[in-house]
Amino acid sequence: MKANVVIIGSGVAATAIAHKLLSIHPAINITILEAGSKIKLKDFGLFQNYLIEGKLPFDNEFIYDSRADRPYPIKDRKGENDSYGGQEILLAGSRLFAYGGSTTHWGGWSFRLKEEDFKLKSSRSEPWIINWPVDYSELEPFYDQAEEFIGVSGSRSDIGQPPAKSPYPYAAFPYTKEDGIIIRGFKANGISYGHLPIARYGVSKKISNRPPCQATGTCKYCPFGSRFCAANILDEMIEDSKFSNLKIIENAVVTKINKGKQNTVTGVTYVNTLNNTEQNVLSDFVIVAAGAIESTKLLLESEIGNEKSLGKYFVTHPFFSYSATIEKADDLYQPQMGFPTLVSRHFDNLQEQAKGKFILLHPSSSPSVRIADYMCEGKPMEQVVGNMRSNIAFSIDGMVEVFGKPSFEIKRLRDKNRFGLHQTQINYQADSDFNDRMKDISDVVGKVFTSIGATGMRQQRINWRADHAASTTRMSEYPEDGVVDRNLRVHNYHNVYICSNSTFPNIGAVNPTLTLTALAIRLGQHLSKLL
Amino acid sequence: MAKTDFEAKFWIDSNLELTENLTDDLWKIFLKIAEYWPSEDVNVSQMKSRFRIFISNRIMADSKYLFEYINALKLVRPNEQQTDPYRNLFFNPAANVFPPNTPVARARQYVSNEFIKLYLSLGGFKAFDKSLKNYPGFIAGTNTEASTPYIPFIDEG
Repeated sequence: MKANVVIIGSGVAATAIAHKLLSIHPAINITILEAGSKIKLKDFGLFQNYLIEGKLPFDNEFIYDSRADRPYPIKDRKGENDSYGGQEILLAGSRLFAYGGSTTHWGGWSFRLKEEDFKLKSSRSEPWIINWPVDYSELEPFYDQAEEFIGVSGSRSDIGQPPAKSPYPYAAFPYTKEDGIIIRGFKANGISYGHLPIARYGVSKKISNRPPCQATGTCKYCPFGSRFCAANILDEMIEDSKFSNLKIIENAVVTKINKGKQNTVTGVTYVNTLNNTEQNVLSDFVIVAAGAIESTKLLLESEIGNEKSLGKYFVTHPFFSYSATIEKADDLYQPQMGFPTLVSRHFDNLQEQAKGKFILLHPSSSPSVRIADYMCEGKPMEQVVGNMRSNIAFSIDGMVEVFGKPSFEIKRLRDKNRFGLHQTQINYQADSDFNDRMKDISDVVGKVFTSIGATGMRQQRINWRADHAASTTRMSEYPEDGVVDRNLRVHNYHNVYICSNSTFPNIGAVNPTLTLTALAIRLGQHLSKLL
Repeated sequence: MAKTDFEAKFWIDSNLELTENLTDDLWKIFLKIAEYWPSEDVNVSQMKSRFRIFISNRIMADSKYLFEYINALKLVRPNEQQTDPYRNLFFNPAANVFPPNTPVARARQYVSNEFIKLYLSLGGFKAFDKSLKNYPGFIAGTNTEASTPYIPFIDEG
């Protein structure tokens, strides 16, 4: 098999690269290799099943085989993967092995990084910390394209956003009635806030085949396809007769990138896990876009990339959640949406960077009113209404920036998972000052709750999921500092690239997907000139 | 690989059929939910077609639902011991036992609770406050400046 470009992985990065390349060279031969397979989307029966049981089709054993990592092994449970070093990083549920990748289950939060995020070295003194070899202004036009590509709804008029030349493609979703309670608390404490930019299509005056959001509140399985999911875009591209040389192969586990002469690669070898046969794809360019962890492991397996940086500097976002109770509400409140609409980036700024920037948001699950639960428990009408007015817990969630170290690393284990990929080992330990930073955050959140008359603040266990795993093949100006260069090309190789969060030298306080998409579009443009 | 194919016509044993009578009797349970948690703003009769699709989808997802539905209907059959068997189904605390290993617990947890969630998602949430505008699963309409499909907070600065 021969291709101009082979892309490993079929998530948002792969999709954006392929889309950009095909928009410039429609006849180009692109082969996408995906270790997982398709999940039926936009299916009303699966939507109803999620609505009734709360089970997503790709996360449970009932509808499909689960597409997520299994939990870590414990006594009497075999499990898979390994986490050590003091802080367990959760792999289970953080990513999906599926056609369309993790955008099949993502929340769609689509923030831009801020200008200072590209220059962390200005705020932190650790000798291993580096700046990005690109800055915000260089990436800005690609952020515009990325927002268009994944269909972001947002508002440019909110305070504290990075500069942008274009409006969002879709108007922001208005704050909910429930957000109004938290906004009151933000205002009382001088905390700026805004609309959470999110990849859900709105109503557009432009001609569009994107179905607008119907606010069903069941976004993790949208019956309309109104939340961006790479699988839907891949389907559209495959169905487009202009792109007749695009090929997507499912159940294809790439085992090795094959080296050629003079710092080149010749293609990849993959195993078709349906019939256990090995195949080779020859290709002019190889792009590894298989998520931070699998991309890193594939390079380790292929012995490609600077071993001083490869697999090291692992970082992700700790996700925190606080709640407090309002004894008597002034009105009836219940969660209306399946995604948040209110965020504060007040503490996501240069002054906070040295200690770790953070964002606060009002989650869509807040307040704690659950009408269905009350009815199912057998509560009559008047009790249900009473429960909607008294002892209502409101929540404030958020993410805080932490920083990588050479010793925070991921490795490839010998055992394989059920998708045929080598299992993963993660070594991570929270910094000694992390608890101090969480104390700062607790103080801020506590003041917000006090301002709205909510008492008994509680903190849920901090969620250290690997959703935003990053930095393990970081981008650097000099080959000795990282794995890829400013164009995402592996240092010292001519034709192998990485497009994943693993190339981010640091991740700021926000979700990385929009930045990844911008980098993918930029890479697509770069490659289009070489083909 | 999909374990269940929602597009496939579901397999029906010759002795277990989703008959019109069965659907109509299940619909009576749904109507009773709308009686116990009523709303003037909800036209329950308009929910029937979507209710029928729901029943069909549940059986396609898992054929055990034929058994669960028949079990529930046996419990609400009029009898001399219970003047209102539906009240027992909806409000008897014993039906909350988990795992559901009694007929009434199975009928509550696999049938009437699911119907409650369906009822709410089709607009039954308005029973609790007619000003409520949106609820999980409710297909509320498009998001335009003129008509936000949920209750917004008007931020006056």
